[in-house]
Amino acid sequence: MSDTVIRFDDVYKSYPSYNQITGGIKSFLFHLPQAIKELNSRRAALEGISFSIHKGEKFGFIGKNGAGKSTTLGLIAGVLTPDKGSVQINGRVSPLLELGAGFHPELSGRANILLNGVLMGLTKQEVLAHEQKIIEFAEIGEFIDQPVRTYSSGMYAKLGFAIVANLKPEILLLDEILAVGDIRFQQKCGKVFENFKNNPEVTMILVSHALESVKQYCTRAAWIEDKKIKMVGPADEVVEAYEQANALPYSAERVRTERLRTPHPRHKIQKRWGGAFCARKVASKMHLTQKDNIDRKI
Amino acid sequence: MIPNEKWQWYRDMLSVLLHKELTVRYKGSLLGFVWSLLNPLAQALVFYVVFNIYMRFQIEHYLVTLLAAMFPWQWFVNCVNEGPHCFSGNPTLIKKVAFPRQAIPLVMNLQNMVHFCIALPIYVVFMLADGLRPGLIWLAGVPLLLLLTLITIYGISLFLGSLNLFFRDLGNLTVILTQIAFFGTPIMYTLAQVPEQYYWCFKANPSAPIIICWRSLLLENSINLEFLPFAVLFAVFFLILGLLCFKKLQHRFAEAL
Repeated sequence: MSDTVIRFDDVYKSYPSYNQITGGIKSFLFHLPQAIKELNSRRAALEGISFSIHKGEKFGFIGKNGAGKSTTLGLIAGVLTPDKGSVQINGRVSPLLELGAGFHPELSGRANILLNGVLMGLTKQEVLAHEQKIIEFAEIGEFIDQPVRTYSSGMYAKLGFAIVANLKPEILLLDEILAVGDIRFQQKCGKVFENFKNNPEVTMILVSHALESVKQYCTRAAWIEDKKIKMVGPADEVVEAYEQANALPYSAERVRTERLRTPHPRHKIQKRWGGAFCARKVASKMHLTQKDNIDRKI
Repeated sequence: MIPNEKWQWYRDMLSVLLHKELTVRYKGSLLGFVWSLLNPLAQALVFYVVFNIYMRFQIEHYLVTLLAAMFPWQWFVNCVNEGPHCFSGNPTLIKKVAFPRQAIPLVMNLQNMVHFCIALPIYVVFMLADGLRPGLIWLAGVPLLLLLTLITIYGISLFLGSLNLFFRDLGNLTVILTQIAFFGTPIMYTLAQVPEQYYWCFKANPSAPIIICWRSLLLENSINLEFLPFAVLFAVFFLILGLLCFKKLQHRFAEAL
């Protein structure tokens, strides 16, 4: 068994749900009882997640928006800390959760390479040793000495990716960034990912909606749904199960049951406001059944 | 990682970030760094005209006296006013990059310190022009006071920066407090003009002892032993307060932005 580099043990994470607090001291004091209650009321983002990732593994996280994937990544990087449970990391995690995070718009691309590299935990000397390779890889020509704010979004991402690809952290975190730049550059990225895949020294963790890429580059994957891990296993199996569960087009029957099952935000409002929204509740139900009828006819 | 390597990295990170701040600060402005000088100079000139020419304050070397307190004050107050925004102004660094966040206020303070250090020779020019001379005591006094000021404002910035993420009014409140502190600190007037029975006011004002020490060093070439202990006390107090506050709150920084 290869050694574990990341281990999550029954991890819980929640976010504060502010209203009064971000309003500042005034509204905090005026709504004191409410505000104190709010300090304690938190929105759960992850509920009891456990998994471990071994050295050299390529691991993918898939799931719906808001399921908790990026929170998991934030916990791995150490930007967030868990409420409960333990997160153990052995190795140098690339601390950048986003390509070009930490770039300063006024600085030149060259200066930003140094800045980004140092933020990633490398010394100046180490970064400068790789500088030329990064510049060649990024293929942005003489823009390298222009301030980053003048870059197109494609160039921005290309430079960001070039840095990550060439500075090779032991544990690489990538959040939704597989399709970077033009076709030529995308192919180049693909090659880099292939290299990473074959390199047993690099552990790669990918969060993506691009299911094909997860299948292609990951050995294992986890499907996060509704704050919990629904499935962990070989990447293609997990992706297929996920695809089956979320496949489009919806059948009319599924749409109906899902709509009735998942509480619509409106229902919460009804609870809070009592009968005030009853009329609308009925209306929306009527709307639903009508729509379902139409769906069935089709 | 070997501690030595880590130390090397920490120094590199600080120097790269400091370099970034210094280049970015006046990017695109024609006068650049000169703005850091013009601000205290203009203020000093206004006070000079009002108090020395209109109101006939009987203070020798009044302009140099003003500058001796104005330059350190400028450094101090810039850092304190920027303090609340040091974390909230860098959301991507907080949310997307895992690195020692306590470096952010430190770099901000160092950046302002560099500006102060470049202003010192300008001050000396004013001194010489007025027939005054810097003494040898500067060699010991300047580093000592630099360190004390740095520790004080680092603590204050850490404290305000951490709290401001959760109470966003602090930025505005700080500006008002520093304005009051300006008048409560002997900058446009001198300590000698104030009856000694009110000295306790200066000892209770966190910004006063350090500025008094700066002026007595830069103007009189002496170290004010009455106020130095208070400056040390405030430095230690704010450093501990800032570090405690930061340590307690920092795990929630990314959630609050």
